[in-house]
Amino acid sequence: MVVKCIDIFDLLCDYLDEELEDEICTEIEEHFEECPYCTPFFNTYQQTITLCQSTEIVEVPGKVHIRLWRALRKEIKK
Amino acid sequence: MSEKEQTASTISDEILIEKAKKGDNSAFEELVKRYEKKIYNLAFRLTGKSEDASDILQETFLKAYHSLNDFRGEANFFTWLYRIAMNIALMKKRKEKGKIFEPMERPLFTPERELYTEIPDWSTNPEAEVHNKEIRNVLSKALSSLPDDYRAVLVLRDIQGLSNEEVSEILKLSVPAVKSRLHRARLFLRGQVSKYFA
Repeated sequence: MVVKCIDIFDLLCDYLDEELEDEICTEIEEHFEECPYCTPFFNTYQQTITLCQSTEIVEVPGKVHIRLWRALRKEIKK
Repeated sequence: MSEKEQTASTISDEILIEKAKKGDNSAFEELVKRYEKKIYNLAFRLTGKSEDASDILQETFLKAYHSLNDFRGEANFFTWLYRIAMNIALMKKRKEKGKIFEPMERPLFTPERELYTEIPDWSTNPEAEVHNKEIRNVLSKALSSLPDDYRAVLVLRDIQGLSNEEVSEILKLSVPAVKSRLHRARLFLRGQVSKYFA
């Protein structure tokens, strides 16, 4: 398979999630070395994922916690 | 942590569920404690609003309490719980007015299937760093612009960190469908962030 830019566009998700066979990964990496346009696309796609993955885990606000447990205890008592 | 608390926290979900089914309410409460923060975060990232997340959180655990006998252990408890939360969240969203979704921007390709235009690389821009508040707002806004089913996949995969198989189980989608929606959601977000840097 000769990897073209359009293939990168379609395969990038599977490539980053390590779902592709080694052979295709090698072809993709060779394409990155030759193509100046796909590298920025790859970098920005990857950074988008990094931004999502580093989304803060928030604490449950006090009021929300109290409201939940009040409702649960009321239901459990029935 | 007291000895009693330590013992409770090391009991598996499966044992707690069996106890809860037999009427042990403290076992159910332990399950709630384990998943309260995860479900809240899921709901909050899906809706963007603490109030809506609070509603979803409450309805999820109440539904779980009443449906516990329906849980037969074919899936993990947390998968089952996430599925309840997702269904409640999606039902809530459907009641809201429909959003206009801009189609995913696809770069232009030549007949030789090569990229037609240069793509700006903002990935190393200091403003694109994970701690930057402004980029977080841009991403948050972009996330809320996604259609519900795309946002669901992205939140479960990239924010909650679940696998394709787990997301497939929760959303009752095939794994290829999960991957396809994930990719399109990521492309959309990338496009929105790119617009910010343009």
